[in-house]
Amino acid sequence: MISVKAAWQGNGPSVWPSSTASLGGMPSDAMRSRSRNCTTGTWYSCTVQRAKAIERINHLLDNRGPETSNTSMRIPTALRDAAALAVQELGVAPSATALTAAALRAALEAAVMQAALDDHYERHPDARPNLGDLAVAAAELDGHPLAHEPGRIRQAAAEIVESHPDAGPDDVVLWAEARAHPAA
Amino acid sequence: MSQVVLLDNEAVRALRNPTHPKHRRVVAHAQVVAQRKRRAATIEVAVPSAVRVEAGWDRTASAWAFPNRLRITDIPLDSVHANTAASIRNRTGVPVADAHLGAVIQSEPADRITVVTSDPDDMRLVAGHRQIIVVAI
Repeated sequence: MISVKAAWQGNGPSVWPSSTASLGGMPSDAMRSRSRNCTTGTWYSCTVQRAKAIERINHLLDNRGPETSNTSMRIPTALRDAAALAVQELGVAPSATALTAAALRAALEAAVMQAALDDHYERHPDARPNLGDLAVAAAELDGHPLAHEPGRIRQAAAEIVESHPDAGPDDVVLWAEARAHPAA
Repeated sequence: MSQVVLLDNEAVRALRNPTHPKHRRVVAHAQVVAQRKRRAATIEVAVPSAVRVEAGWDRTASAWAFPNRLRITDIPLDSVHANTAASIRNRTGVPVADAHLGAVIQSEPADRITVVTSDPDDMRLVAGHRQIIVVAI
């Protein structure tokens, strides 16, 4: 059983992704960390534990009830003051608490989505999109004109990884665009 | 800028089934959304409930575990959507799920709407005057 309280206090099980970085379809830090921690014998229980954690986090994120809790979370003073100022002067949120909760929710939603994808890639390696696939998808989602030229985008992906192995899909689309419209 | 990515029946089915020929393609779209979420972009993936019914997506069934974990939002067929969807269906003759998609498109507050679909023509038809980005799979 995963203890939410223990994890919140920093001594829970290591089911929380240390980072969700997974640019260009490469394995995320969380996945690499998991591979190190899970031996063959414990792989199954690790996987089940992680899947349960993902489902539990999703369930908790879906619960938008009015119940609130006081926490003793310590955050850097400068960050707290910046948040207060942003609320007061920029109107970015109704309160610093609302701003913090929204940022935390967004971070958790991104993390849990990436964790679900990483698990899926582990079970189905063929499903993992490569950088070219991701760049085409990014262009398509934005309605970019080059979305109709996937070959050009894939070519750009193949070129860019040689010099920038950490390039992301949006970098590739930008590179493909630059290649398509060279300066006069 | 806020963006919503809507899935049609074929996209949902492709996402669920790793052996579906379009699975990797739809997963790539989900991966891009995840990466953009991590960069604090206001973007979400959603599915109208009529589409979910047509695709057979039962959130309590283990076969749908992977799509369930991707935080794809349900958009219910409420009274307002039902009226718009009925009007679209009467006008165009599209299936109920596509009519619900059209109703969602026409009322969606997001700045940018992208529809991942196997039927681009029907999506443009049901979108009415609303500007959409169509991703044909």
